[in-house]
Amino acid sequence: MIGNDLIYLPLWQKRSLKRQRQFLERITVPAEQSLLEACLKESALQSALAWSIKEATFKAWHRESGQRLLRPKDILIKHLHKRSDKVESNVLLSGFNYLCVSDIKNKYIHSISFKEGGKRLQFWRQYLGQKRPKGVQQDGRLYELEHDSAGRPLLRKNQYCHSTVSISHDGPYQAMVWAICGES
Amino acid sequence: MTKEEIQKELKGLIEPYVQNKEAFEDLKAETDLLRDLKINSAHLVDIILDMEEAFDIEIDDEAAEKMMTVGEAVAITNKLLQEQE
Repeated sequence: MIGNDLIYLPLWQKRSLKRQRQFLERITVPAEQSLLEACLKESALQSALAWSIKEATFKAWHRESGQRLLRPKDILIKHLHKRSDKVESNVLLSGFNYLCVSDIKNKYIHSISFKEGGKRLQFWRQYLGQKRPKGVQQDGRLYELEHDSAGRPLLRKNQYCHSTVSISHDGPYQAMVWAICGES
Repeated sequence: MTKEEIQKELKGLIEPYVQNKEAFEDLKAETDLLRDLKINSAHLVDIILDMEEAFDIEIDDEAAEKMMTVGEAVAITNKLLQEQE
């Protein structure tokens, strides 16, 4: 299962410095705060990255478990590795390890999280602007965006095979990610 | 502070984060903060921080996890205020 989260930074950065700190302390433990401080200087980016990683991981986990959870500290960022504008993180949730990849751009942070184990999951991503698409073009074919009985989005390839989809939006941006058929 | 007063104050705190204005106008105890009011989940953290400041209370993670609806948020605030007395 795959999850993603998009944060539009101009909105996020409207929080005061004090609120950024309170927010970070509310959603992370001291060990995570040390990792984030070593990775990023700006406190708004630290709190935004922490939230984005945890929300994307939560979505991947929720898709599988169906459970609700509002305790961000139950999602533990164990390791962060920053390379240029990308951050890879290892995350622990409910005994499962997730790998999360985050893009940090001027206007947004976008994170994609998926469960580790076996071969590394391949995924596609699109930035969509304000309009939600009817489907995605892949392998020369248009796969229509549908919803399952629980209202969760999916891309159906045929009656036996579909890919799970995760959609996130904030401010003027929307992002959609999906895993390849059979590995979702 | 009565439960009605808490709900009135809470309504003011959550208003800036609400995306479904129609559901907000018809606010009830069973109104779900995320599902009905379409509040962004990150803003739920902001609301908890705003509540702590406004009511001068400390909402721990366990209590915050139970705040799915307006009624639950009011009940938790009421309990915390009573414990202070």
